[in-house]
Amino acid sequence: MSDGIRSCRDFEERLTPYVDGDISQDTRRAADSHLAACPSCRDHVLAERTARDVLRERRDTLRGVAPEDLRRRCAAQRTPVPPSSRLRRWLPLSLAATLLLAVGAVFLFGLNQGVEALTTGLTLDHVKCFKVSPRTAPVDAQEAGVSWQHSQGWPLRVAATAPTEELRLVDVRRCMSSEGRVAHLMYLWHGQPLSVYVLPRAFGRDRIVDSMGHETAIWSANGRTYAVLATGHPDDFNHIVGYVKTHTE
Amino acid sequence: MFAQAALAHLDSLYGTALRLTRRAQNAEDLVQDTYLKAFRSAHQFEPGTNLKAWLFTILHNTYRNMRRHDGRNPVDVDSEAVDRAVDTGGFDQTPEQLLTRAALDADVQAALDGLPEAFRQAVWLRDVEELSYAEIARVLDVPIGTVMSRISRGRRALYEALHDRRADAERRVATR
Repeated sequence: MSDGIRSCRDFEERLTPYVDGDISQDTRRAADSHLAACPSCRDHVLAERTARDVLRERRDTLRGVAPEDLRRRCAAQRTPVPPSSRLRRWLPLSLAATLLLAVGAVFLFGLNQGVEALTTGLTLDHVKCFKVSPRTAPVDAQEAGVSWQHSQGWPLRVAATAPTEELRLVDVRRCMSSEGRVAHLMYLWHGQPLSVYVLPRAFGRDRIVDSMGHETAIWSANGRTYAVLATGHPDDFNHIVGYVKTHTE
Repeated sequence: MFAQAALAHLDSLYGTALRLTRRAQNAEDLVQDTYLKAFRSAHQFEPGTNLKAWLFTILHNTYRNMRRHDGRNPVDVDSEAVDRAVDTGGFDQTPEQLLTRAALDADVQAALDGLPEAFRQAVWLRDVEELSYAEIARVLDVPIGTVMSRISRGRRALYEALHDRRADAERRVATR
């Protein structure tokens, strides 16, 4: 339904979103036809657009650069990282994962033991699963979701390979936990292992955890808990978490 | 990791702090306080959302609390008074003739700094820091309609200020 713009007053209310291109097609059409007949509003649009462009062009100069020692002082405000799990003190990570494989053990982790225990378990599972070579045949995200629902009885939407994000789906596995079956979606992101876990129970607070050289983001939504796990501490981790959030459920 | 991602926005936070406080020392303190709070409440940040907007919210909140303690009022906007001060009169020359490439950096800085604070903050967050209207509403703690109105008036006031400066500059050249 088109948004009537009958007067300059009507147009004024939509002027800024119009200049920013942030309106529906219908409203844009109505705005354009008002502008065609109204030189005064045209002037206003030109003024706003020009001011905006002037600022945009000079973003970096206007923003400036913070003094170097301020950077150091702010970095020093970081809260200390909590001590890693006991396991790390006894065993190097890859050795722990290899042992799990050798013993054929299923690593049990669950939502009741707290975030640290959960992320430790997920991290070990992540390393273990990527050690066993993932399938080379391409995986279809939609098929995987359907077959998951069939075998596990709960729906799963898997984020597909996305070349623009440098994200490639390599496998979808069932991992064991004290909660039952957990969906483990394995990806290569910029060629590096990235795991997405979906647990069929809500957990609690959203967290970002640093565990044994891996970074994990955990959140709950719609009665599920999700975790995204990457090796190291990539700068754009937050970005890929946002992407996964939108395309997985 | 989280700290690294947060520190990546230091320049943006400092630039804004400088415009809010107008003094380098106060700006540095404001930014440092912001990071302290950010690191302490890192667990409250929702992964996947806009980290920069979250940091700006903390910064502006801290700034407002600072000013409250000072006994000065937080940003007071008497819309009518501001409207009177910013009279968008007729346009003698086209924008293309006056602005964009022709405007000097110093002129833009000065014009921006001359804006009423409420307008400057909104325009800054939108056109320099690229936050969405909803994010700006959260940062400034005002309704989204107010955000759009302040952006609109701020941009027009900026245009007028640059228009005046340019006209002045040309007049000076002409009378030499």
